Formats: sequence, C-alpha cells, structure tokens
Amino acid sequence: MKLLYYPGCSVKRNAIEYEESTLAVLEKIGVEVKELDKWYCCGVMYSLSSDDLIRHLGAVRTLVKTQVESRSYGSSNLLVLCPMCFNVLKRVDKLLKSDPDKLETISKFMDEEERYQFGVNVLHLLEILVLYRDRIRESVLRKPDGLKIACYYGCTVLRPKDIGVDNPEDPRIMDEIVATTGAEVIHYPFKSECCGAYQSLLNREAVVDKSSSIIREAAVRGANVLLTICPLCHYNLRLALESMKRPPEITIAYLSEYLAYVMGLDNVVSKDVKEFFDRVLSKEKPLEGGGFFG
Amino acid sequence: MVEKTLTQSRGSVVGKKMIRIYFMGRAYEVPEGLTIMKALEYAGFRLVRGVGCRGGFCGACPTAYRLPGEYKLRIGLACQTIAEDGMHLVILPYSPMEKPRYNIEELKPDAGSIIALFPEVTRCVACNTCTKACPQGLDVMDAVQAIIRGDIAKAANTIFDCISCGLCSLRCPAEIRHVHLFQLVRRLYGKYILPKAKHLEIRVKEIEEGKYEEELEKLMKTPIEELKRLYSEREIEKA
Repeated sequence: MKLLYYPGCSVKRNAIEYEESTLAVLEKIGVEVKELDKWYCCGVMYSLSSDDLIRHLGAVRTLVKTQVESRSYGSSNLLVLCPMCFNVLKRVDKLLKSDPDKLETISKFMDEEERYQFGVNVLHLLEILVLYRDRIRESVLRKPDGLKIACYYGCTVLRPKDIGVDNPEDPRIMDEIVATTGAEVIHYPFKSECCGAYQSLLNREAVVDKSSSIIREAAVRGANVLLTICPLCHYNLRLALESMKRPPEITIAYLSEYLAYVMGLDNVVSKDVKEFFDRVLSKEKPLEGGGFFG
Repeated sequence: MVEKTLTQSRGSVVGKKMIRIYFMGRAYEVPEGLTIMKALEYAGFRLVRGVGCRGGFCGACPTAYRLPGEYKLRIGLACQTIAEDGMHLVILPYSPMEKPRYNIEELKPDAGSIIALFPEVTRCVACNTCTKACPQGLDVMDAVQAIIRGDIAKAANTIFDCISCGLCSLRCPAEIRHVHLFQLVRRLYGKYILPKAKHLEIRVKEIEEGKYEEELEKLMKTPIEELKRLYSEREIEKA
C-alpha cells in the first residue's frame, strides 16, 4: 500500500517520537509512505460557523496539494497521525462534498490553486494498521509478557460519528491492533472520554481532573500501559500523571512506540517508555536478558 | 512619501508614445516604457520616501496597482515595474509595526521562541494573500507555515531573498508582522543552525588581539595621493 502523508504541526513540533515510531513501524510492515511536499496547518479546530470559510482554507489547500501530488505518486490515500488534523481534514472534505456553493466560493478565492475534485481519501493511522494485523503479528520479535494495555482513543478520531473510524461509544479498532501483538488488552469504560483537550492552556485543573480519572480507571482495572494516538491526549495524560500525589505504576505512550518496541525497533522508542517496558518484561522473565524470544 | 514640486504637463516627448497613469487617483501623462518611479519623476514628483537603491534590492518602493478592467491587485517595486496605460497605483513605502525587543542569546531556534514574540503567527489561515503580495515572488505563506511547525531552516531559506518591503504585512488578514518576524528567523538560523565559519572566528580574534593595529595606524598617516596609488596598484585576487 502507498500513502501520502500529512504530518501536522503538533506531530512535527511536540510529538516527533510519534512520527518516528510510526514511520519505522509502517516501513517494517511494508507500507510505503511519502510526506507531502507542501502541506499547511489544518486549522486545528473545525470551524462550526457556517459562513467563516476562511478558517477552512488550510485544510482545503492541503487537500488540493494532495490531489496534485497524487497524480505523480499514484495514490490519493492521505495518512494522518494527529486525530485533530484527521478530524478537520475529513470534515472539510465532507463539507465541500455536501455543499457545492461553499466549494465554489473557496475555489474562486483560491484562484492560484486548481479546483478540489474530492478524490482524496483521508485516513487515520488506525485505519491502516488494522488492515495490516497479519503483518504486525509476523513482525513481533519481543513477547509483551506482563504488559497490560489499555487503549485510549480520545474524541476526535471517533466523533462526530459520520467521520469517526469506529463506534464512538465502544471503539475496538486499537484494541484489535494491540491484541494482534499478543499483549493483554484491558477493557475499561473511559476509552473515548475527553482528556480535557485545549483546556490545558486555560484551565489545567480541569485537564488534570479529566485525565487523572482516565488513568485511574485504567490502572484500577490492572493496566500498566496506557496507549494513545493523539499528541494532545499524550500531553494531557502525562501532565495528569505527573500531578498525581500517588501515581499508579503506569506509562503513557504512543501506540506506534509500543508496536516499534515489540518489533525490536528500539531506536525510535522514547527512552522512558523503553525503560518502563524493559523493566516490566524483565520482571516477568528475570532469566532471559533483553526479553527476546525465537 | 511623495512631494509634488511640478504640476504642469511636460507635453509629449519626441518619438515616444504617451500613456496615462493614475497616481493616488490623479491622472498623469507620461512617456511609454518608463518604470513607475521614473514616470512619477517625469510627472514632476520629487520622491523623498518610497525611493532607495533604484536597483530592486532595498525594498523602499513597494507599489500596489491595478490594470484597467482587472480586479487583481498587483504588486511590484516602483523602480522595477514598467508603467502601463490606464494603471492605477500607489507607493506604499512603510508597513507600520514596532519591532519586539529580544536578546538573541536567550532564544532557541524553535517555534515556541518565535511565537512568544510574534503570537499572531498562529492566526495564519493559509489564505496565501502574503505570497500574492510579495514583489520578490517568495513563498511567504510557506515560510509562515514552516515556522508554525518549527522548521526554522526551511522558513529561513524560503524567505532568504526578502527585502523587508512590508507589503505582505499590510495585506495579511492575520496581521502578522512579517518584516520583523522574518528578520528574527534569519538571525536564529544564522546563529544556531548554519555551521560556523571558522576562518571568520579566527579573523575576528586576530582583530581583537590587535594584529592589524600597526598597519592601520600606518595607513591613517599616509597622504591621500599615496593611498590612491596603493589602491590602484593593489594585488587583486585572481579569478
């Protein structure tokens, strides 16, 4: 499979470990990825006001650049890692499809670009990985004994329902991907609970409160790893964990870092995450150095 | 700004077709083929602002104009753009903005440092108006977007040829202060990202240690005629 790739500003600035581990894992399972030559800030939040079209320009321009590049690259599938970007790009694509008048207005304004033709398929990383479960299973080098994993989805990859990648009330897609690696997946009710989102800028206490309850619920049910797919959730969850008076023995990592770890791609896993995983695995099998098998 | 010193028409120039241009709403007959700057001088204006090197480098004469029958707002430097018949134009030599104060030693070459000084950068909606306003034809919006994602090297290289004319800053709906923003980006790139020039460091050290003091003193005391002779007979580096 070939994918064009839209990184997004957060991934490039604050979540480079998410990108590095994702690209390493995709290469390992045989997915060809090419970053767009030109891409723009998605706009961060999908503007809900019906006449504020200028807020959609970054996303439309990125879709047009994808359309242009898809012709030479031979794929119009656009991979997105950040759920916020995924949400905005997919909703703008949907808006233009359903409202030709708005596309007309935007196209007239962006007269230096070609017109958007709706051919771009915006895909989140989860939608790719779930298709490659067999390749993931074959690529596992390190048995994740002792890792009890809670998958945390956050909001924007699931909601609104018509652009979400899975059932927003009871998503399973990430659980299925993780289960493929042989890890124990912990079920808990806060998978798609809000982490506090951008309240981290205005009201940190609200974020700590929301994110702490997510962490505690996962820990109470036996999880020692909380996996996320979102730079903002990752930031908020770590903020909450650091703020807890008696934090549970749990680490917060990107799904892609976990996959990279079990595939033995250690150089793309954050140091603290790798150390945590190593520690848990060595407790399980104290006589086997490194925890490799096979 | 411009100061008008002569109002009467100069009449036609032999062998030259005359065209009509509209400068700040008033019509002037000027010979065809002149740059906007020369056409205005022909019309009797003495330019005291909005003029500089006359070679397309200094950024003092950014000009906005529209051609007859078009809604497009076009951009050019008055010293480089040829006046056309029916053109409406204005010279916009200055974009109002204060330069934020900073100490380059205390900054890091990352998005956070820049956005702390220029918070408006994150208001960019990728409308591309800045790019269309650039008389240098630079990808201004791409540079702003590169800053947002922390790619300082890409931003600096994209706007390397910026002449700080300020037209992008006048046109930007996000009110970004590109002139000072881009200067900061170039400084951060030069200080923290580009490799250091070793020979330059050595030479600066030599100067500080007074290696050239004696030679300079000698030159200061040399008569002007002798200096001229020395200059014309100096050794020129071979190509």
